[in-house]
Amino acid sequence: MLKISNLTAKIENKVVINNMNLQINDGEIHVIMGRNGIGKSTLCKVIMQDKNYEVVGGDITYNGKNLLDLQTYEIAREKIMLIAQNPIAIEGVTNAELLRTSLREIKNENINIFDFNKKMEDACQALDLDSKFIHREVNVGASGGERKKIELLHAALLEPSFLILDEIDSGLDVDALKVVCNFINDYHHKSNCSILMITHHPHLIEYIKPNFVHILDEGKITKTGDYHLAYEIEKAGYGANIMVEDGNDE
Amino acid sequence: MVMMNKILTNKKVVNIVNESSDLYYQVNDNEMLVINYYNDNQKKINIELRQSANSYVVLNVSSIIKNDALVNISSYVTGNDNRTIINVRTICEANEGTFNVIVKANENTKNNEIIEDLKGINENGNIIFNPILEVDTNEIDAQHFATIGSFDKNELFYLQTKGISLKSAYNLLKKSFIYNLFSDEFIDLLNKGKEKDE
Repeated sequence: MLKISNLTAKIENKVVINNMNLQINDGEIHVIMGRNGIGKSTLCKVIMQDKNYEVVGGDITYNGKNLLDLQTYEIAREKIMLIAQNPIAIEGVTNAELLRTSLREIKNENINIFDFNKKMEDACQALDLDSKFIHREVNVGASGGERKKIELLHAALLEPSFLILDEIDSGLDVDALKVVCNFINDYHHKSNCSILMITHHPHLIEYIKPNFVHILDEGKITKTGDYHLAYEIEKAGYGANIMVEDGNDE
Repeated sequence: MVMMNKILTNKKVVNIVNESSDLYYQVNDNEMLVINYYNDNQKKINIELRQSANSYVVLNVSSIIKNDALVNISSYVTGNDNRTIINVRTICEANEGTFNVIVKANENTKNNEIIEDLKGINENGNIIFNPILEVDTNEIDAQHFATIGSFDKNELFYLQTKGISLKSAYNLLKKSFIYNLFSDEFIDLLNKGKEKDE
């Protein structure tokens, strides 16, 4: 279970997350929506303890462990994985090398190369991703959609129990969106992982049905509903009527 | 780009690892020479190259500085139709590393091309690059680039989000930066050497 309690965080002296509360139980899928620049991606990065952001109040715990006491790599080793909105490219480091290093450090044992290669190939097939990416430098020369698939390739090998998907649908064409969503649904079904998704568009929710949809405004969750809330937003926009309910923010 | 007038008849590759003696190469006419130089504890070294006619030299120098280091690279172009490429990649982990890279092209030489590309990462030390082109002719294509920076924080964060410790993330980026100039074969050689040492 991920629990965010009275969280306040800022960047360059500007408060972006303001006394936020949120709880995501094991196996649940939560969606956060909100206007551009409101702090959705910031929340994702704060959970991963990106040092660009300063937490000035509150707590984030995962299965009882305080994430604010951990470094980014330690949070990842708690099986929390972030797929960022715009995954960066890293020259000189291949996907295979990154994943071998990651698995070796997480498991503290040598990797069975045969199983490793097979798993990579199977994941590429499921993602409709050319297997040449396995031995290519991370995200170098890859389109936006390919980068998202490469990140999910990483997820297939690292097997997170909590997935943070920051606008996973951005940059994906119609066919790629279906493939990606099928992959995520399949992974969720097999692993019972929890998922926190950031999105602007209900079409993603058509493929990955959330348990809860939250609206983020003024640094906190101002409204929570089921997936119908996403359609209300699409119809009415982020107008005053839709934004607030009776102080329920969990 | 300068077009070579005649076909190069001979290609030689020289790999040098952790060498401390000075190096001197006279490149033969119509020859291509690739020199891969790696040193994981760079101190002082002088490297000199001489080219006369229709030759092509690529000098790749990759080094890690842990103590004060001085690397002098001198290249002399005395004839026509030559190409000289000098690439330097260095990481300074402590103290100071100075790289003087001088390429001289004589008067009345024609159709030569010179490129100096120097890149450094300051970890906890200080890198000084002195790239110098001394050309006494107008008929030359000469460029030099020098940049000094630090490891990208976004890349370090990204690697950590995959469960890789900060130290290992630095090592991955360090290796990719330092090995960037080399062929797979030379990288295999370097990795085998490291496994032996371990």
